[in-house]
Amino acid sequence: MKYPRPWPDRHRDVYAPGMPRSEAIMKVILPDQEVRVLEQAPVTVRDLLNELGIHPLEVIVAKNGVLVPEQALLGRDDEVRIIRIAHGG
Amino acid sequence: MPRCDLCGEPAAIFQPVTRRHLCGTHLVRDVEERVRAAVAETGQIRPGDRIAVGLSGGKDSTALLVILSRLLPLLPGASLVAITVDEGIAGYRADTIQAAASLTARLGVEHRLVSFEDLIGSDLDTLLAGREEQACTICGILRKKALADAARTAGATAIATGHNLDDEAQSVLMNAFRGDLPRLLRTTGTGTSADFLPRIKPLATISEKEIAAYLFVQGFFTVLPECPYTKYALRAGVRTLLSDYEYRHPGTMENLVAAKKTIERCCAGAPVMEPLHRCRECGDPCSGDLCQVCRLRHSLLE
Repeated sequence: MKYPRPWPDRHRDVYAPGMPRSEAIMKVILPDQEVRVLEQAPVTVRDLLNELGIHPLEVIVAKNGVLVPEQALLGRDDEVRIIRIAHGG
Repeated sequence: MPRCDLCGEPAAIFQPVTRRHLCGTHLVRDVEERVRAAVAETGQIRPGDRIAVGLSGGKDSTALLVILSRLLPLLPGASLVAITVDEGIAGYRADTIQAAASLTARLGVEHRLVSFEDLIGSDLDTLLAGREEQACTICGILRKKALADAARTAGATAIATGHNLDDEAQSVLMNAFRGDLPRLLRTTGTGTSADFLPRIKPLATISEKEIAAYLFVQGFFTVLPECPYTKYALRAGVRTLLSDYEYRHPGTMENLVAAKKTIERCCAGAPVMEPLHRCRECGDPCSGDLCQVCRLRHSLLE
């Protein structure tokens, strides 16, 4: 387990919406609603969170609108939403 | 794609302690059954009880109200009343109050709204001007009082709050760090004194992540803002520390809560707790001359 860690080099490969797409990209919506398009797939939810420096116990993750566990594979054309679990009441 | 260990459908969550994958349907059943078992085992709710549910509108209290409303048919004569406390936090509470109102309307549960303005004549933002680092302490004292008063007014026989496994384990660790045994024992889920309405925590065995997942798979999950004063909370550091341990060593949180119960059993009857007095101003039970709310009133006047 490596979190938290600096943003890794391979995540600099980010495309703005509308730019030409490669064969394997996925759209990741971060907890702050920032959208990133990543050229890296397939990867597991656990790997993705690890690379982003997000603690797995502090978020839930939906793939194409469906909740998935950390072992789920994420691939090309998937929309991945990372939702922070707000604390307290 | 991981599959549910019970039915083979696509999994929604992995439970590290039991090492099971569960689909949304079985996650909902599992959570509700564990809450039902905890409530039955500890006798937290009896037939005929009127339960005041502290409903902030956040995820924990939302899950609590949904689950209790489904368990109610198993408890003849029992009823629910949801109580929302409006602390007066700009840019935060309005959304959760709206969520609470929508939920109670959807579930058909009576809903009451009380405010710090009613209780102490001022909203939290005003109270905290220049003393923001005390936010959680001040808010906690006033929220507890507002909820207890509203519950009594509503004729409740017990107060249910949405404290989850993470909350409980964090409290154990914080009190252990402070070396504060009386406080560790005072956080007991069920009140015993006749001076207090019993406080119950039906979600105390369910992790924060399970609660979020439980709501998400049923369409109850709403992304709401986080309290702006959270950054001042002492709990934040303990939460991070404990989350790391739980992730590396699943079961750490359950072990901490189990250890606390063992300490409670060992301390039963021992003179650990401070004797109960009456506040000389309001008459509420307290450990000193003045209760915390009256002490706070005085400090605000200075």
